[in-house]
Amino acid sequence: MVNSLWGMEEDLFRRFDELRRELEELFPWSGFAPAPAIRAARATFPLLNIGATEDAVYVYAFAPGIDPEKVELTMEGNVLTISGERELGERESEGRTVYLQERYRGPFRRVVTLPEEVDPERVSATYKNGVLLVQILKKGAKQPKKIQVQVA
Amino acid sequence: MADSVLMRRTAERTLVPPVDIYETAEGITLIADLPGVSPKTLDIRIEQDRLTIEGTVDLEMPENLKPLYAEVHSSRYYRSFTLSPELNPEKVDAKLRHGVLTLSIPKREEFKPKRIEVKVAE
Repeated sequence: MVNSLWGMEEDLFRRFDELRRELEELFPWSGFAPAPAIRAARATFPLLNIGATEDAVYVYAFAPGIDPEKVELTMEGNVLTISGERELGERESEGRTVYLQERYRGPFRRVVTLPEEVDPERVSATYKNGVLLVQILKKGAKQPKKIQVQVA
Repeated sequence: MADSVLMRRTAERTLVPPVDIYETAEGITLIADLPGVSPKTLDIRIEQDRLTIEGTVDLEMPENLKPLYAEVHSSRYYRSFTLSPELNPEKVDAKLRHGVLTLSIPKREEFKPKRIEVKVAE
């Protein structure tokens, strides 16, 4: 089932980047390989995978180590915004040497346009193992009806 | 050179988790982002001086989910490091919380800095 979400065509930029790196390694002296593309992909946080069933759209945001209480989720029509801040503590501290610092830190904001049939009123979200899953039901999707228990 | 190109081809489908690495007087702390990995799909191994972190994304997905868009193209993480001899791999402490792995590897006692008292010569 995992493959259904990951088996997609690789994005062209990524393939191109890989090709360029391979060319550079094979012919480092040639200047044959084009210059690296300037892209913001490295600083993209959180990464998103999106899938849909007949009834709903599922947005998987790969956002490890955040406080789920502080994530702001908004729906405006069919546009979903995920924003917040990833706090990783002090960059420098006394008596500590930093060797590598690759993990994303700071504020983040992702905006995605979802299929038009989503119902912005019916959104739910869960956070598990560092993945924020936002489920947005489609308009007209059947949802188990809640029955209010009346107090006599 | 040709070899490294081949290696990249086989490694193409794995994700390289970003890490932070700090050193203190006590040891090394390695923090890796592994979103989607649960304790049961995480595998940390130390063989001689080689530390290997492997994990598989374990997500709950409804049946008949069709992909619309993807930025994460693999469900497997892999990264390995060489440990320097002053580290003690017997005493590694690993914690996984919200998809973040924190590994603490202490230095061997003989490599920890010792305070040497300086006596004033009379």
